[in-house]
Amino acid sequence: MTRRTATINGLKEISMWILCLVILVPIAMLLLNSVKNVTESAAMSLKLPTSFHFDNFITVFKDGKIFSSFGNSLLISSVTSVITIITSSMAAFVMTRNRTRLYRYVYILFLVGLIVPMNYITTMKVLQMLHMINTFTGIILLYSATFIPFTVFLFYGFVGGIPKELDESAVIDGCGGSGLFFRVIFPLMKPVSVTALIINFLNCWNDFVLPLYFLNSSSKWGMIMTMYNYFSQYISSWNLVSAAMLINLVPILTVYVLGQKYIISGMTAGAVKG
Amino acid sequence: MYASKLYSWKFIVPAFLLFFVLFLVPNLMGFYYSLTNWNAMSDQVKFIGLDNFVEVFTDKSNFRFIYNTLMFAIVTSIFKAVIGLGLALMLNEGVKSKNVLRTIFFMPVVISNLIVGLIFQQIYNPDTGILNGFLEAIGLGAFSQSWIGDPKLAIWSSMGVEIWKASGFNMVIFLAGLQMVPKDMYEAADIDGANYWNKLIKVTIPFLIPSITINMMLNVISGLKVFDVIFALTNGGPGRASEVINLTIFNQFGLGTYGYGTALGVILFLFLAVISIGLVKIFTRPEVSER
Repeated sequence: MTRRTATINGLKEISMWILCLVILVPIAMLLLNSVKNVTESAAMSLKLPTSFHFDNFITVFKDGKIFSSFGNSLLISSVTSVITIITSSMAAFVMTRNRTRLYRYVYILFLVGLIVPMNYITTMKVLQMLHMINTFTGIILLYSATFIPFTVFLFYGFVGGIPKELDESAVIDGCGGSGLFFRVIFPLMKPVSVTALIINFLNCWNDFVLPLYFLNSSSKWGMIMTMYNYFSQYISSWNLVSAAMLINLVPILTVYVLGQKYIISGMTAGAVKG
Repeated sequence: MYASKLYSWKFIVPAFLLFFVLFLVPNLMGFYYSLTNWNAMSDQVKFIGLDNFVEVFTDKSNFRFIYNTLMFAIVTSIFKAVIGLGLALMLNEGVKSKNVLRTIFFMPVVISNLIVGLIFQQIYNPDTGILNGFLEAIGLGAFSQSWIGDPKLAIWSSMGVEIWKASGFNMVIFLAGLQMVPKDMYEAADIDGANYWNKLIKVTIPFLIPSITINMMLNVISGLKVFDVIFALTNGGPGRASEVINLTIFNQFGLGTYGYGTALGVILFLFLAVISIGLVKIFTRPEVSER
């Protein structure tokens, strides 16, 4: 019996490794092509390059505006994540502690935001009215607004698990409303804050729809948009495009591998509760 | 201290204000502007009633993108869930390298849709792409296709990319669900002489119903909203053969026919709002039973 189980597990393992080639091969293709010369990379194949051209990366770094766009991505993603986390955790805290009908409706309104689409065209109108079109402020606040529903949902589930007795003892020790939240509750929410930080950061970093609609000046673009622009310029040099894509993937995959545990716990929060 | 002072409503203001001004207000404005001829050419916005909606549903060339959007949502939802379930069952226990394998299968979820779309443009290339190359190598060269050049096939190829990208997400949700199945249920089933399939259908699947619901809901919602994958892969082409509703909205935005584009946005909103009512009910059920 145990021997049979061991055989089955072995077979499972082998078949899964074969299956995961479906995921790995496209990435490998990207890696191989990023070090080929132009003619070889014209056919994106899995053939090994005849000679290694690491200078492709240098070319991309030289004229791809990588550094300034990396800075833009970092600015937009981190400020968005911080704004989203602080505002959402505050809102979730008050909504879980005040179980009145009104707060319940507000929470449901946030949940609706999780589902319904954004109306891009009228959003442009609102941004114009606020004089925030084509600015960092505009795009950051817009990202925050789109991420708030998910983040509120995430915090809402977590704050519910923090006992109310803690609030009472904090009050006895002389805490007011904001002292209670920032000194006692917020530090306790560290695990879920990290989850929210990583997920919002990655979503923001990967998104290119909002810049497509609302950021016209290329000097404000993040890495993804700059890569896309690079792609349209060098459409026939797939070696350079592959190198640019890899430069994009490195920060994303690093964050993914390091923060995997948090990403998955956040994404499964809904399923476990449901 | 009084609860109203301790848990002040002011705490909710920043989040709600942002969400209200930049998300709800544009959506509400959409309902008004969808009834107008708002466009980039003239400054005057004229009220034209339901004309935009009439135009959407009477123009026969629009049926293509409505059909594409619905098919995309349905087909990808089913495949993502089935493949995700299969992966979760295989990687739940027993396999030694399961953690590494889970990491690999989930990885496409965090990669930018734009990069994924552009890579698959090359994979699908009829002459040099590795998909046709692979089919020839295993002797199925007859099945090689012009994956994104053929108008009939383009939307299906885009579905393939979405399934490739998001099955890992379904897997993770199912893995979380599988931890909820009590172990003694399997022991009891073993004593009754149940085989693998009996246990799967009679024990595992019933416990996974919540995960299946969540996955299907999230899959359908993201399927209806799809934009980036198709934008990067085919840009709606060839012609308008693989266009979906969000791509049409983007094109109308480019053309400056804002009123018409907004009407399409409202249609998508209504589609999703109907689904959201069901979803909100599921999300909020535990809290209701608590009280």
